[in-house]
Amino acid sequence: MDILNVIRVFKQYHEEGRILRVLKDVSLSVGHGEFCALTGVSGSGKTTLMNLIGLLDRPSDGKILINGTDTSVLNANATSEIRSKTIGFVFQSFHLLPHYTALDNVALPLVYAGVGKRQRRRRAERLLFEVGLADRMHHHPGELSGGQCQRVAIARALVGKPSLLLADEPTGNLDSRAAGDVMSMLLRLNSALGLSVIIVTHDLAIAGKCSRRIVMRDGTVCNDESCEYRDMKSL
Amino acid sequence: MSKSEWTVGREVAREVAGNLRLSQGRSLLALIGIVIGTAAVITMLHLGHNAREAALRQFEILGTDQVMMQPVSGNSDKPHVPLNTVVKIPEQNIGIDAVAAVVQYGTSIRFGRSQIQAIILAATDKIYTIGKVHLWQGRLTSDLDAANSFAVIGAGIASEMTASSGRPVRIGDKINVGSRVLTIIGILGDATISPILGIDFNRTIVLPFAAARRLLPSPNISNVAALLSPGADDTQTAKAVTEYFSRHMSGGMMHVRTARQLIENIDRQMGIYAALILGIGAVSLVVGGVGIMNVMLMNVMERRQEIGLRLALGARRGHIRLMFLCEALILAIAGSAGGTFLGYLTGWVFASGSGWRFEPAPLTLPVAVGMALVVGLFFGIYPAVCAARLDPAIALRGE
Repeated sequence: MDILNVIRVFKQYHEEGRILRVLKDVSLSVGHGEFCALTGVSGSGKTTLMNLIGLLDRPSDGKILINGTDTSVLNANATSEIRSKTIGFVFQSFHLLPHYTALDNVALPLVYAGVGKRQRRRRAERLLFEVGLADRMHHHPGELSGGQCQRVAIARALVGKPSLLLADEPTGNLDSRAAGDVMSMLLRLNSALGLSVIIVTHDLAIAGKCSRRIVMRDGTVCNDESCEYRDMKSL
Repeated sequence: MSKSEWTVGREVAREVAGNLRLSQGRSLLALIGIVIGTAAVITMLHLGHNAREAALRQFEILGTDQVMMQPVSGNSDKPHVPLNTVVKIPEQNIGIDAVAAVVQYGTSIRFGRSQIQAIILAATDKIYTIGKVHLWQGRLTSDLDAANSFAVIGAGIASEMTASSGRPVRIGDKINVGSRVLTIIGILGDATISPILGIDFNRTIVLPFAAARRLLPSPNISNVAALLSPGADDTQTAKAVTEYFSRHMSGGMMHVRTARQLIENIDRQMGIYAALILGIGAVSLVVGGVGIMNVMLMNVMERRQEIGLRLALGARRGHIRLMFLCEALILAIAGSAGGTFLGYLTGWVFASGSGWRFEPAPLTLPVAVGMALVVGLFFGIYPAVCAARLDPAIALRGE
């Protein structure tokens, strides 16, 4: 069973009397442990598709199956639960809460999983250790570099033990070195934890490191290719 | 709500409490509204309660069996009450045990070189029993003294005379009232003002009733003090007394004042007071609540991205609602706690300023807690619902 099936999904918005068709008949499947890059020019529907996959929005037509569960029939609380248990998000602008320490930011998703404070902190500590920020636990985001912030955000995405990680331009706000660090971390997590990753990117170098590249154009998937060998030399 | 949902709700509430930043300027401003509102209500509650307690404490000391009768004029005539009629009241068996006819007026007296303001009270014997005053020195006046210029002075007058002359007042000392000279035959002990009789014995000089003629050209009975018989029904007695006098006096009627009427008056005033408190409370609730709602709505607008993020991280809409409701409640509770403290303080200051014993009003704490809950819930629910309705995908973009 695939972690994700997108089946004939359409999405349209009504704007000032006009109908804006953003996704037109998109279908794709992502297996467990796959590492996909989602690329395409601006306005091709990448972010809309990511929002649908992340259950932050609902398709106008079609189905999205997470781990075989049809999400179109679920109510808001049930989709919240899938987000909490199965999906991890990483954003371009990190979205860390500025008045929380790195530790509290990482522990935040566990609040909604009903985990007690002590347990939350213990799990958050372990993840910050894994992303190499054990010595920055009690710093606030303002005191961290962009690369460190994104590593905190990755730790936060992983703290709920998801099986699908959605990263929307995770390296977009970083310099090339920090971007390389973040990318190699994602690849390492992918191989170590068997985590499925979908990463939206404009950067061809980043996309080149992914085993599968999905290219979108004008609301449809125009190219979906897998390479047998990841470009290991650049890691 | 299932157990696990309850756990999540508890963790959400705890997380809010642990991370709330009250130091934000506008939160503090919103708090001031609640603080002032609560403080006003709490102060008024204390004031009302303590005023009532102070009034009732006098009844505790003096009992509730005193009765004051006051002739009031009808039309243009001056009311005239014959002494004989007054003296005969206890014989009527209408619930009155003792009476004292009183001629009362204020004047200034001379003692040595000093002038002292005093109340002259020419009264029949029973005035001491009815007024529940005790003798400290010498003897009391009696009807047997007839029109002799004898005087019994109150404790306050005595100490003022002592202060002005530099030596203690002695029995036999003379005081001048106009051109008349009075001889002091007794000094009263310290007395409590009776709310019914309205006589401050400390500031009073008591003469035999017949001696009034020496000071006033045509003394008229200004009022009649009386004591109820044990077990007498005060309402019926009052009616009977009015009826008795309507037959025996001319130029007006007798107004009768009993403890029950006075206490009823106090309670009526407290009722007006309570309505006032309710009004002030309602206004301050609305003002403070709108302040909180304003702050919370601004918070929701400013924290759209955070709300989107929390939804993405697995929060349910109910958790977002709970989070903002908790914040509003904490603001309201903090404001209300501050206001309660301030209210106690001002209540205490007012009470000690008025010479009352400060006693916290019994309803204060429930009222304060209730106000906080009402304000927090009522004015917090709308911003919380707004926050929970945000579309996570749009909120995350932060546009």
